[in-house]
Parts: sequence; C-alpha cells; structure tokens
Amino acid sequence: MRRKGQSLVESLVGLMILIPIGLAAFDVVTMVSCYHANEQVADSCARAAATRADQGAAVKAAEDAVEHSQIPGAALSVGVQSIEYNLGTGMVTAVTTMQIKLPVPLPYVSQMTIKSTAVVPIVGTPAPQ
Amino acid sequence: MKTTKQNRSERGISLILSCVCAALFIALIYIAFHYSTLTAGSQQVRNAVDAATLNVSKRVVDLGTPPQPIFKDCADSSGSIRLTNINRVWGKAYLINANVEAMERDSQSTPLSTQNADQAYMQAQAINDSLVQQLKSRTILDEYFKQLAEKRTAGLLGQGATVSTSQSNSWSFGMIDRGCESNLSFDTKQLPGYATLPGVGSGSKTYIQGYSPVTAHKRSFCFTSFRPNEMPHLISDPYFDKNEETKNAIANAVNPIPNAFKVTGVATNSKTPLSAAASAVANPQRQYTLAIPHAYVAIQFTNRAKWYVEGKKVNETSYGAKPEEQWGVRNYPIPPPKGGTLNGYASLGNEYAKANLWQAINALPGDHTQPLKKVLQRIQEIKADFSMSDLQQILEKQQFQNAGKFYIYPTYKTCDLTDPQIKVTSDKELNLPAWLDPTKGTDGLEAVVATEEMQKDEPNYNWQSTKGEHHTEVSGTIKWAPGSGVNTCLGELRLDRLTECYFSIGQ
Repeated sequence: MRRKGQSLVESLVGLMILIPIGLAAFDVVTMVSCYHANEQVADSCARAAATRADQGAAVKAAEDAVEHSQIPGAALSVGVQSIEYNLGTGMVTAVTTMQIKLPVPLPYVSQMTIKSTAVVPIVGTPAPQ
Repeated sequence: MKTTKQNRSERGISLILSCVCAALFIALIYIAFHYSTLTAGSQQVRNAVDAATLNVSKRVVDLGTPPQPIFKDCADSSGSIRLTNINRVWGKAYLINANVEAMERDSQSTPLSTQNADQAYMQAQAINDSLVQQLKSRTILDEYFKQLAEKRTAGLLGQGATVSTSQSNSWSFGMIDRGCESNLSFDTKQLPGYATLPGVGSGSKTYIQGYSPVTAHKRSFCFTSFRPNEMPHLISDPYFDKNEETKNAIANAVNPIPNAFKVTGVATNSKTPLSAAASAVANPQRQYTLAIPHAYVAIQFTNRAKWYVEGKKVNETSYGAKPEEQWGVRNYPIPPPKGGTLNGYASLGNEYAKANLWQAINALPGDHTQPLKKVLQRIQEIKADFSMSDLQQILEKQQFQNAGKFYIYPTYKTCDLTDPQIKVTSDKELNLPAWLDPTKGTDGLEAVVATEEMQKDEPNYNWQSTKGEHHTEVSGTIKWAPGSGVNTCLGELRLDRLTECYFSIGQ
C-alpha cells in the first residue's frame, strides 16, 4: 500500500517537471514561428515599399502588403510600425510589429509583441538622367 | 529480507524515470528549437543575400565611364556613359556604320567616311569594354553587396550575424532576356537604305532587340536588354544559369554588357555556416530613342549664269539668292558688215523673289520628293518622329534672306539631349550652336539625285542692246552628298541652279 502511494507521488513529481516543460515548449515554438512570420511580413513590406517612387506611396504599398500577408493563428495583429523611404541612401527600411497571444500564458504575460526590421534597396526610381 | 531489499531498490524508480524522460524531453525541445531557429535563420540569410544582390543590380547603374569624343552627345547629365545610356552609344555607332555602308553601296563613300565608321565602332567598343570592366569588378560589386548586407542581420544565427559574399565563389554574369526589348526605341524610317534592325514592339514603340547582334558595315553591334516597365528584380537561379555568359555565350558579340548578376552569400559571425545564392537583373528604367544627337544637315544653293552669243559661251558668272541684274555680255564686237558692239544683260535670281526656303527649293518644276526624302531620313536620325510635313513647316518659316547655305540642326533643353527641336538657320544669321562646326563638311561623295525641268525665259530673262533673238534657259540639278555623322554632318543637299542666257547678233 505504501509502495503504491510512493509511486504515485513520484509520478506526480515527475509530471510536475514534465508538464511545465511541455507547456513552455508550446510557447517557445509559437514565439519562434511568429518571429519568423513577422520577419517575412517585414520583408514583404519593405519589398513592396521599395517599388514605389515616394514615401507616401511606399507606406501605402507596405500596408497593402501586410493585408495580403499570411499570419499565424497565434498572431492577434500585425501592422507597419514605420517605413523609412530614404532616397539619399537608396534604401527603404520597414519595421513591422506582431502581437501574439501565448498559447500557455505565463504569469503576468499572456501576450507579446514582436518587432522585425527589413532593409531593401529602392528599385522604384529610375537611374539618373 | 528479500522483499525488503526489493522494496528498497524500487524506491524512487518513478522519479528517476521521470527525470530521464524530462532530460530526453528537454533535449528534444532543444533540438527542435535549434532546428526551427536554423530554418528561420537560413531564411534570414536568404532574404539578406537576396536584398544585397538586388542592391547590386540597382547600384550598377551608377558605374560610369567618360565618353570617347564621338560619343560625348550620348552622355548623361553628369557627362558619363553608364548602363543606362550604353545602348545610345551603340545606337549612334550603328547609325554611323549603316550610313557608311549605304554610302559604299551607292558608291558615295570615301576613304575618310570608311575611316570614320571604323573609328566610331572602335570608340564605342572602348566605352563598352571600360564599362564591362567596372561591371565585373569584384571590389565594386562586393562593396555594393556589403552596403546593404551589413544593414541586414541574421539574428537567429547569433548576435551580430550578417552576410557577406563568399570568398570561394566569384560573381557570375548573365545576359538575361535575350531577344527582348533593349531600352532603345527606333523607327524603320530612321535607317538609311539597305539597313534593317530587329525590333520588338512594346506599347506604341518598337525597341531594338537586346542581345541579338546586328551587322552594319561588316561590324557586329550588340545591344543590352532592359525591358520597359520593369525594375531591377530577383530572378531564379536556373534562369540565370541558362543565360550565364560562359555557359551560353552570345554569338558574334564582342564583350557584351551583362545585365544580370549572381553571387553566393555566407553568414558571418554565425555559429552555423549557412550560405545562399541569389541572382538579380538590372534595369535603369530609362528609355531612349535611336539618334545621333549632335548632327546637322545642310542645304546649299549655288547659282550660275552662262552667257552665250550666237551659241558660243562668252562668260560665266554667279548670282545671289535674290533678284538682280547682270551685264554678262559687254561690248561684244559685232563682226562686219553690221559692226558695232553687243551688250547683253539678264534679270537673274527671280526664282528666289519673296521666297522662303521651301519655295526656293521648289522654285523650278521637277520632282523634289527624292532629295527631300534624303534630307528627311537624315533628320530622322536626329529626331525619329520628324515628318515631311514638319520639314515643310520649318522650311516655310525660314526666310531666304539672300543666304547661300542653311543648316538644319537640333536644339535641346534637357542635359542628356533627349528632346530635340529641329531648327533651321542660314549662314547669314550666325547663331549656330557651339558644337556645329560648319567648316567640317560631309565625308561622302556628291551624286545627282534629281534634275529640275528647264524653263524658257522664266523666271529669269534677258535683253540685248541690239536687235536679235535672245532668251534664257533656267534649269537645276540637285545633288546629295551623304555624311556618316561622325563629324556632325549627316549630309548636304546642293541645288545647282543654272541660267543660260542666249544672245544673237541678228541680221
């Protein structure tokens, strides 16, 4: 009877170790997957913005690109934080943010915001005359 | 006793098993985590290499070389020949050589025109080679790559992980979109006789085919493909490889300009060595029209009067381009028994009375279409869309003003000489542009292209001091001396007007 009880306690202690690890793994996989997805969104935004001829058009193109992006289920929202269309350097920098909901909420942390930056050359302007 | 020992050995077994499982579980999670970061990091490297290669294809249009003297008018606003305007250089070189080939076939070439055509080709090739050298410079391309690569991190591969070009793999160069549009449009009307150019229609324009060498004057001309409405963009590696210069060279092209670039980038400062290859095609996004920007066509009038008494030529004079009276026969002795002297005079230059240049050209009856077509074709080498009605309009606006020679030439408002406005100026007005040196004439031989019908007693007429038959015969010959365009002269139309004044002694 004592033996049975001891095994149960040991199993419970083991599960207490394994379950949090398993649940944390869910969160980590979600975070990595969302980070990767946001990187792709930032890259798509930057590429779309790079094909335009000015800042205004670049921002609009980036926003359109976000709308057409595939975002993971854990993402609550994704948006363009900033578009820096710099004709001086010939580059466009897109910063996107993705708000994600952790599948297993941590104490005091149930949501996270991921930020990604992508830089691509501006290709929408013709060569100098 | 045995039972007690067994109980003691089984005590804590579940806990141990749980710990082992946890360790295995943690190891699996660690591996899965690293695998996913590696996958994502690999994507970061690919994206970074893509962006950096795209930057190279965007930046290569900045590379330039100073033009050789013949091609200064093809340079951009900063005075350079770049990927953007290299097709303009080859276009001008082609036109010059096509002009000389036509001159040779028409037996109107000279050793100078042949030499000029060769010189134009050699200078175009020198510009081409200098540009190719820059476009293939590893130092320059690496710098352009680095310019963007250092702004893109591959954070998932480690802190400060970036990409750089692989030292073991060099840059590859390709000629993409073979047979597609170059950035040089043309009109078949621009081409001198016998010349043909392969064209590709796009929108309302026809572009010279890129990477499809054409021959003129036994030389091969290769234009670079830059499709209209396309930006610099990434292309698939198999497509690049199919058009790579060493694997698939372009026949009859000497050192053609590459329009696509491929490189392998590797992750640096990374715990995991990752690499990715990317190919991108350049496009300056500027289109031009086939032209010789600094060139002119001249129209010259020469007027002669020949004076005859009893069918015998006694004098020859020249007259200006306005009505005047000349005494061409003075005190011509009349033989006995009549005796005395004969004085004959004529009213000359009436073909230019109140005339503008168009009327002056058409002053005598005859078919002037052929000579005017020669002039028009050469003007179209300067401005492709110039029409016969445009020519008539500018010639009608030009007053004759007793001038002997007229210059038809372009003026430009843009620095890169892409908006020609055709003007006419006479040698009396002296407001020719600095590049136009009227002392440099054509390099071709003159040939008759039309004759004007003989007119009797009109528009010029004559009198004589004694009684007797007298009349004038006014005729004209139109000659065309083609020019290659090397020394800016594309041709000279000469209208030789002749008034023959006949006098008789009478009975």
